[in-house]
Amino acid sequence: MKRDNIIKTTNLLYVLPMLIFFGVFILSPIIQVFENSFLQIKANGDVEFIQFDNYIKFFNSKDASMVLKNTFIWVFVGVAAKILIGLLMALVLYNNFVGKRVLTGVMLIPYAMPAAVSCVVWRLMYHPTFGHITQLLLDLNILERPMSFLGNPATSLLAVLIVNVWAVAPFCALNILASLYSIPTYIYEAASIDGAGHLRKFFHITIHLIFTDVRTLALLIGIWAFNSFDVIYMMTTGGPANSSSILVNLVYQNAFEFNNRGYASAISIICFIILSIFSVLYVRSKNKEVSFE
Amino acid sequence: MNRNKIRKRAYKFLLALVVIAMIVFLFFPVVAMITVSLKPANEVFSRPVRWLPSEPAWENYIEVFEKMDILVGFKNSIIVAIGTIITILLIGIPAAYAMSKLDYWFKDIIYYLVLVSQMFAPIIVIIPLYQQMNNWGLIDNHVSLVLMNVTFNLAFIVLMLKSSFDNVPVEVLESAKIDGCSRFQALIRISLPIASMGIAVAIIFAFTRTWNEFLFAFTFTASTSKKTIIVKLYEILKNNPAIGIPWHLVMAGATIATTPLVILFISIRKYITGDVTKGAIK
Repeated sequence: MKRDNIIKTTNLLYVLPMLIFFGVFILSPIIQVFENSFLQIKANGDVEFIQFDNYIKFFNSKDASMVLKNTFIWVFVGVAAKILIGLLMALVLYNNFVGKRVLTGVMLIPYAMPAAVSCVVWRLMYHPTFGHITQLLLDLNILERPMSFLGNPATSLLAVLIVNVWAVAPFCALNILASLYSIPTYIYEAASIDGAGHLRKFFHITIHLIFTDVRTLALLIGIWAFNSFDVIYMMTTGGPANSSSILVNLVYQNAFEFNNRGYASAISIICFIILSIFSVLYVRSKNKEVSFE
Repeated sequence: MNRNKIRKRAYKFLLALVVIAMIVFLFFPVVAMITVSLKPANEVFSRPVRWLPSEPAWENYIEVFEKMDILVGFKNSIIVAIGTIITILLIGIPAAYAMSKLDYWFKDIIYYLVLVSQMFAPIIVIIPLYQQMNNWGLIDNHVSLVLMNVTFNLAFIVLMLKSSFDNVPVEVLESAKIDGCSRFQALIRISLPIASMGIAVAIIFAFTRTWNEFLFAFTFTASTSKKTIIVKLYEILKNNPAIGIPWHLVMAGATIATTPLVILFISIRKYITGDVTKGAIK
């Protein structure tokens, strides 16, 4: 009994370096951010305790409603689009056709591309004068004259969202495909014998059985989307006039451009609370995953 | 019977249409990148947009090295990636091994801590981290980038390594113990070789994620000689006036920065949804 305890203690040494990293670079900073969120930090380093003023200022600012709305669209519309497109691609790949193996291999390219590279490429494609998309829409007579998709507050968020959907959808497709393959074929055979058609099989069996997996996947890519500062920053730096900013962009802007660290910390804490809720949902959803073996 | 045939044809036709739509959607930007990278300078700015270069200008790929000091970026990215991989393996392998095979205090709590820390956005804590690095004199230094990349990839890599250690049968370890192996020797001599495939995949993941990392590389470096390739690419766009961006060279640089990653990614694609990453990616 006593020896067991000693072993349990010495074994802790294996995980200790990892815990130190988490403690020093995640836990201690988050406590500091929490403290900072109640302070006003002036440029000369003076600090003043202002209670909840940073939070109140955020919720009363005109940025807040727009950025919260943008974050909502970015995360929820984005996840829905990624999952639906991913599901469609997975269903296609579940069929047999010539070149299927090659396609499943190379379809990861958008996901494998560094975010900076895809942003550079899409910025050229959206370019009002030299861009491929602009030219295509002009040729098809959808646009009458060139427009700047990224420079227009009405389209900037959507334009960046398309880039993000393009990059993440193939990842979703491969994950959903793996879930599809995990459904034993005898279930479908049994359904065929019972006289179920393709559509019925899809809605009553497939959707049902991949639901838990897809829910976990949706939570994961939702959390990624919530955190994805880099895509938006590199495409538009959140502009014009914050029209494509989400919460994390606001944090960065206030921390490093406006040097408004107390305020940035308050927004960080708001992000942290939202993320924590989703993380708990993710862990719970993951624990409920089932296998059919 | 005939109706069935028509149905099948229609289904096949629809399938082909969706496959084509998929290919266009996924690869149009990739093709755009490659074609623009091969355009001679004067065709980049021609209007209407030319879809293909009149003749491939391979010299762009040489010019990008001469004009944009891409090579320094490459060197920096590789230094940071190697530093990250070594540190992450030194810390991650023992941790993952213990999580898979050993008993210790607070085992469940530590497991959930790792799982949740994976979800954590670095940007939330970037202010104190910047101050901390500044106090340690590590701003504009690759060490700070290594530390940050290790911190924010560690959970993911540890979970991945844990599942490959889970594949090492306990019986093998027990018989090694009978033969007089210590727990640490059992890790080095027996578990590591069996889990080597999983470790290789983990190394590739750590490499790609570090290579792609933008937030810290952009915020924590100031001098051009320290910037990674990703930051350099972005800064060509940022520092040039909108009209004067040499798009053909940018795209050549982008193609060069992407190629190693695409090869690595495709080589491990079955692990992206497979056993090794169970619990890590999803």
